[in-house]
Amino acid sequence: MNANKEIEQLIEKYFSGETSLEEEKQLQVFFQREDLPAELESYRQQILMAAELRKVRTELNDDDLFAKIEEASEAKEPKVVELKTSWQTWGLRVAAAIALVLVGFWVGERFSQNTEVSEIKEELALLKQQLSSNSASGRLQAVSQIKHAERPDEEMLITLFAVMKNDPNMHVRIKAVEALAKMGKQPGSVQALTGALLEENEPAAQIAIIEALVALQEKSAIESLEKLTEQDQVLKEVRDEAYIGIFKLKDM
Amino acid sequence: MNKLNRMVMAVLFTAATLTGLNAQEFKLDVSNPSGKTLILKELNRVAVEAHDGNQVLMTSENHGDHPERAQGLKPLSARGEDNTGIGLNVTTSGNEVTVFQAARRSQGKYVIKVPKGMKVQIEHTGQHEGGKIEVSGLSTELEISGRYNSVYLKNITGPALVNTIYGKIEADFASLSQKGPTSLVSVYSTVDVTLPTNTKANLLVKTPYGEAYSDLNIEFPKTEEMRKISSAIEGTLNGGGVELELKASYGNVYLRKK
Amino acid sequence: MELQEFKTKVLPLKDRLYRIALAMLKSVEEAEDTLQDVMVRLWDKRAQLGEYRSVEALAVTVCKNRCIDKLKSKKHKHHEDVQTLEVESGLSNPYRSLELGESMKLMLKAFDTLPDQQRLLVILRDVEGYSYEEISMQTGLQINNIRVGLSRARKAAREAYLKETEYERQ
Repeated sequence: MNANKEIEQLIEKYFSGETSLEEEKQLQVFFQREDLPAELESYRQQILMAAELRKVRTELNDDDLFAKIEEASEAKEPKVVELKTSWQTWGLRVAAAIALVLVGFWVGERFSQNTEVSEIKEELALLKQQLSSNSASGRLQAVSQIKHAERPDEEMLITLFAVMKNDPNMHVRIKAVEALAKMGKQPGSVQALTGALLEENEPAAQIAIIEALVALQEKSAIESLEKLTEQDQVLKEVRDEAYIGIFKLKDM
Repeated sequence: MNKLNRMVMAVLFTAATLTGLNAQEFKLDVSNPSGKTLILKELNRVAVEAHDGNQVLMTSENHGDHPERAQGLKPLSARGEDNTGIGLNVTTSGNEVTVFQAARRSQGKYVIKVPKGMKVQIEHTGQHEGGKIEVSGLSTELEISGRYNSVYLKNITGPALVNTIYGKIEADFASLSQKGPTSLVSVYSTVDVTLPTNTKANLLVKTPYGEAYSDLNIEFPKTEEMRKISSAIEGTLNGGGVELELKASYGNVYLRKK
Repeated sequence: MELQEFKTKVLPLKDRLYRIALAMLKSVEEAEDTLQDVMVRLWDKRAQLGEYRSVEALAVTVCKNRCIDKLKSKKHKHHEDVQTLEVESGLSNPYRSLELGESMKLMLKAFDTLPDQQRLLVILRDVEGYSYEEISMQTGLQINNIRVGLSRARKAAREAYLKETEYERQ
């Protein structure tokens, strides 16, 4: 009887969402016994359901899945090549920073969104297609047309980060920086901007990034700005711009 | 790919012709030029003109000054092989023809005639050199990126994406292509643009440390917010159209009527 | 991430991902489609996968998102009625591969009536045995909300099950 009491307590905890994984395991083991007390019988199926569902396996084997992957990447190949190589040259700093914030951010939002999702998706698909164009003006157009700025999707952000870092044309990179600045503080964007700042060689783009960091009022960018001011190959005016940026950020 | 290149090279060598002693010429046949791109890299001085025909014609002025001792020898260059006989390295890959200045010769000027319809990209990243880049008569997309270079564009339509750091940009548009945005950026110098009066565009002019001047009829949005941004001017031309961005971070922007 | 690593780290997640998709979409065919989609997407992201703190969490997240998108577009297109019909006629019974007793069938039927998010939480916690921290990474929900959600889900499942058995007995 005492043992039952313990189980009953566990069941209560289970239904209030307070059991540990260990306790949940105990419950599952307990409910497998044949001689279950009658008053607990009604819980049996529910507790055992987990073990039952765990038996489900997909009939797709690894080869099936790989065939699908190949099929998909072949279908995309001619268009995606450019982006793919740029994904690979993706800086570690930025990727790591994004990884940290990404997972949590990306999901929660989507539970609450409704029709916007498919719209954003379509926009994103279009954007990616345009971004793989070899026309720089076409890519510039694509980036400047980004909407939904107030609620960017995670993939949209990643795409912009990639453009900002890897697009061969400076005008396109700057446009991506400006798009990010307009979106306000988003997960990963400050890290991406500071990462791009230290890798960017074009003064006009460096200035655009500094302006964006100041616009985002991001104090954590100060360190990167200071680094920039220490680099000799950076133009004096850009360094001045960084000093002004540091000054404005510290003042906030 | 390698094989292809070698093949192309073989064709190139047979295509190379000597037309004179001083000005030397190199011809490259391009089938179906629209949809192809000509990429010019590290040419210290270059003038690009559009012409009818399916050939890229490259001529070098002030060439032929190899010393007598060099008779029978090939010039060596760390920047790649001169496979044209005029100081340029030409390779073709897919839809791109890349021309690279192999010889260091900083004085020589190249004149390159491009089939109409071929896109042109010009890059110059030299740290301490880089002269004029001139482009005329081109009605295709144009990308130019320089550091010390001044860029002169005549009778073009764009879309044009041009950026340089120390040089100025002068652009005289025959008309402004509505196919895609045009953006002209000089960090230290002047951006001077001439447009037909009927040009439709969404105009964005940025001169954070300089001034902007124009005699065109720019329509300004009448909002309070607009007035606050002193260094960026946003407006439309003839009701608006393609995006036209002009930026001179430390210089002035001039926007003129044709 | 190279092919070999993808094979050892990502592919083995296929059964888990499939179970999540199956519980969400209630259809073997759609769950298989989704699993393929997810693998393709992860493969496309393989260059970055090495950087993720937890590839598994990312995989679950991608899977979950695909499911939610599908559920939404389905509702959007009013396919739901058709789907329900199929389930009732046994045409697309998601658990057709399992040999189930009558009471367990009722239990699963009850489980299927839970809202999408509740089914997801039950799958992640009770079936896959993820910690609250992991579920938080996968769903973006705060731990406290996960507990509350689970509690509701479990209570609702019990209620639905009791209703089903009562209905059967009548």
